[in-house]
Amino acid sequence: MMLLKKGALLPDEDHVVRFISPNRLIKNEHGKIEILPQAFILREKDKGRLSVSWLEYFDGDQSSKLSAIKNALAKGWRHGKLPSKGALGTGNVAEIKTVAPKAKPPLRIVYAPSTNNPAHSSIVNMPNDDKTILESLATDVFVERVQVKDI
Amino acid sequence: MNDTTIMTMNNSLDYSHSLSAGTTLTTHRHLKNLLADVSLPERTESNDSNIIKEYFKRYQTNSFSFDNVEPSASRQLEEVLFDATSSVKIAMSQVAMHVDRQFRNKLFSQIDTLHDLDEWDEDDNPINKDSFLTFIKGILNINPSKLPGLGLSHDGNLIAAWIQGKNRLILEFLPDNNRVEWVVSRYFDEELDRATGKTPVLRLLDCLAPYDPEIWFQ
Repeated sequence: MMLLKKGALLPDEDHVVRFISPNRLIKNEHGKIEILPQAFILREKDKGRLSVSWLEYFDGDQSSKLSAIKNALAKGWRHGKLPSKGALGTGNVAEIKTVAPKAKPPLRIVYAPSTNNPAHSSIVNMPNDDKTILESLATDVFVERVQVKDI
Repeated sequence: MNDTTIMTMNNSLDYSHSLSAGTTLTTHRHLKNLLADVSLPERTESNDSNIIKEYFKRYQTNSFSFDNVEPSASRQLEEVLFDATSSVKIAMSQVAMHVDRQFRNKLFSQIDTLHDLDEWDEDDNPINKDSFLTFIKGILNINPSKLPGLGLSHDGNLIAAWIQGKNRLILEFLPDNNRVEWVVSRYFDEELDRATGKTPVLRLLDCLAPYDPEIWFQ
């Protein structure tokens, strides 16, 4: 288990995981799931910080880490479980920063643990009104996607 | 609503037959609350007229209408989703003559999936009827051979997506002024061209023309 102080920047080589609701997923012609850019839009309740989970916080192989994140996220959901047709998308920290190199202030990915989720982190300074950036996150960065039912 | 209807409701408490076919679950609940809330004297023939008067009084002060039911904070999620689904299906029925039956059936099936209670994100809004109407106008204008996959924004805007290999077209249908926000990821000779814009649905094909949209629509 990696440890960082709350508010610390996540290392560039690490990864973050975002839960994608079923309604922000789409299947391509091969039946593989893809993410819609709207999955990264900030809502008012997000207060300018896009919620993600720090993958390397947890020990084990990729599957164990995703399972731990799924369990942590589920605590905040109705009936204590994530929608089975939703997905966890995984992206690299350094690549997230490259999608908006000209953002001012620059994108930062900070560790922000919560009561339910000790791996909780935030992408700060997201340019919410630029759909090309959100599309880039959806297609170029969060390229590993696993449906909740398969975790 | 006339006296006979009110009497029927009071006598049997099974008032479903007095509701029109388009009446929603919300209307049922609203009506049930309205009736349950009325403190009535024990029923005798002599006080029937007082009961009817009381119903009318409550009916008027609640501004109750079968055609325009105000949303209530206590509405159950299931009802909200049911109502939203009904609303867009009714809207669709009004343009059904212009739409292929197979398309309509697939569309209804996808809307049912979007509003699946078991998969629902409680922070989301159900499909916005005005966004749906913009979508219908857009689809009639594009007249695609390939039907899109559908998604929903947090705000309840309908999203249509066509994906062909690495080439993606995402359309978010806005509820105001028949506008659509489009996002294109299009590869020409392995070079990515990515663009976005907002336009009235009737101008959408003009905006997409530089990206050879036939790869998605045909």
